[in-house]
Amino acid sequence: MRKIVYAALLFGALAGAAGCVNVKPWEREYLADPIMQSDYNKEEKSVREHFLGTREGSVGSFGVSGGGCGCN
Amino acid sequence: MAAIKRIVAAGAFAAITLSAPGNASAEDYSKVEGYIHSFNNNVSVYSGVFALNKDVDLDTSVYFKYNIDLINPDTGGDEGDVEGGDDDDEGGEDDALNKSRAVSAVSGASSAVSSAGGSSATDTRHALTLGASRNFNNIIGAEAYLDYSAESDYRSLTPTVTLKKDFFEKNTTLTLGYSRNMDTVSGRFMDNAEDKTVDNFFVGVTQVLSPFTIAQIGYSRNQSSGFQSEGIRLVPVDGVTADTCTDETATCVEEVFPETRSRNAYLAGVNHYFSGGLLDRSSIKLTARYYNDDWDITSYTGDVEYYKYLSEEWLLRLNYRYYTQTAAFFVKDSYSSVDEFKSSSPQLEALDSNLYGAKLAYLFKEGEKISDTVSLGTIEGKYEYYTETIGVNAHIIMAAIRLIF
Repeated sequence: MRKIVYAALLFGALAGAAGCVNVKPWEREYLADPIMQSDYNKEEKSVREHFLGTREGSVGSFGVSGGGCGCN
Repeated sequence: MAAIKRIVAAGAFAAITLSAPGNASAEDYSKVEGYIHSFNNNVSVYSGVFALNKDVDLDTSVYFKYNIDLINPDTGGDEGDVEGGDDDDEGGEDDALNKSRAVSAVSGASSAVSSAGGSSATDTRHALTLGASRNFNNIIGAEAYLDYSAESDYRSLTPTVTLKKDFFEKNTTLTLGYSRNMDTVSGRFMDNAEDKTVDNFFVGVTQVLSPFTIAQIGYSRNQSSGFQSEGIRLVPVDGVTADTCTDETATCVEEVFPETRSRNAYLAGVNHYFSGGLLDRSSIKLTARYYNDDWDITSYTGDVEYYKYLSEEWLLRLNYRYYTQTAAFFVKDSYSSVDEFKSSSPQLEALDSNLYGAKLAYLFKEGEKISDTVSLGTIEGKYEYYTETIGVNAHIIMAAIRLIF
C-alpha cells in the first residue's frame, strides 16, 4: 500500500508540474543536447540492460522507452 | 582476439555498404560496437553490434540491429564443450561455482552451465531487431519492434509496440508500451523443450521542468508464465556437495521454479544541464528504481551518469550504478529432494553489485567524409568495472564507431 502511495505521489507531482511548466520551443537549446536524451546511445544501453538482466534477478523499467524532452 | 577482429571487420564492412545513398538526414546513421566482458576465472564474452537507422520520409524511420555474443571460457581456463561432456572439477567448489556464475553472463541461457562442475562451454547468441517508428500528424508517435534471439538452448521472439503522445506544447510526453516474449527453453538437463511467455506493460511520463531540467517517471508490469528456469543448472540435494554435482542423478537434480512470476518496477529520474561556471556544458542524470515480485525479490537501484564536453570534439562520461536485491523465497543453502522448489541460480540469491565506468567520445563536428555519402560521426571507447558481492567481477571494454549518411 505504501508503494502505491509513493507512486501516486510521484505521478501527482509530475501531473501538477505538467500544468504549471511551459518551456517554449526556443528555450530548449540545452534540453535538445544529445547528452540530455534518455535514449542517447540506445545500442549501448541495450547491451548493458541485457548484461545486467542476466546477472541480476530483476528486469524491466530500466528507462522509459522513447521518453524525451519534447524537442522534436 | 581473432573473434573480435572478425566482428569489427564484418561490422565496418556492413556499416559502409549498407549506408546507401537515399534521403540524407541527420537521423540516418549506422553504428558498429565491439564489447569484451572479461570475468574473473578466465571467462570472456565477445560481442558485436551493428545498427542502422534510416529515415524513409519526414515522419517515418526504420531500424535494424544485429547483435552477436561469443562466449569463450577457453582463454586459459578449463576446457569444455557445448554438450557438457566430461567435466573437470579440479577447480574446487568455489571456483566452479564462480565460473558457472560468470559464464551465464550476457547469454540469457548458456548451454553447459551447471551449479558446479569446473567445465563450461562455448556458445554463440545471435539477436536481430527490426523496427519502425512513425509520427501521425505530429500528435502521436508509434514505434513497433520485433526482436529475435537464438542460441543453442534458448530462443526468444518479442514484438513490442510503443505509443507516445505530447501534451502542453510538448512539455509533457506520455509513453505507453506493450511487449510479449515468446520463448523456448531447451537446456541440456531438460528432456523436452518448454515454452515461456512474458507479457510486459509499461507507462511513463517525461516532463520538462525548466529549460535545463527534465524529469521522468515510469512503471512496468511483467507477467510471466511457463517454464521459468533455464534447464542448465543442477542442484545438489540430500547432503551432496556442489563440486560433485556434474551429472543428473537422484541427488543431483534439475532446478525447479514456480511456473508463474509477477514483477513490478517503478522508476524516477531527472536530467539536468549545467550552463556556465565550472560545470559549463555538462549534464547529470540521476535515476532511482524500485522493484518487487511475487518470488519475494525486492531490489533498489541507483544510477548516476555525468557528461562533460571537454572541448568541441571531446565528450567524457562518468557513470556509477549501485544495485541491491533480496533472495527469492525458495533460495536456501541446501535442499532436500522433497523440497518443491530448488535453485542454484545466482540471479536469485541476495546480492549487491557496483558498476563504475568512464567513456570518452570524439565527435566529428564537420563530418569527416569517408565516401561521397558516408561521414564519420563519433568514435567512442569505454571501460567499466562490475563487481558483485557473491564473488563475480568483470572488466567491460567497448569500442564503437558511428557513421552518418
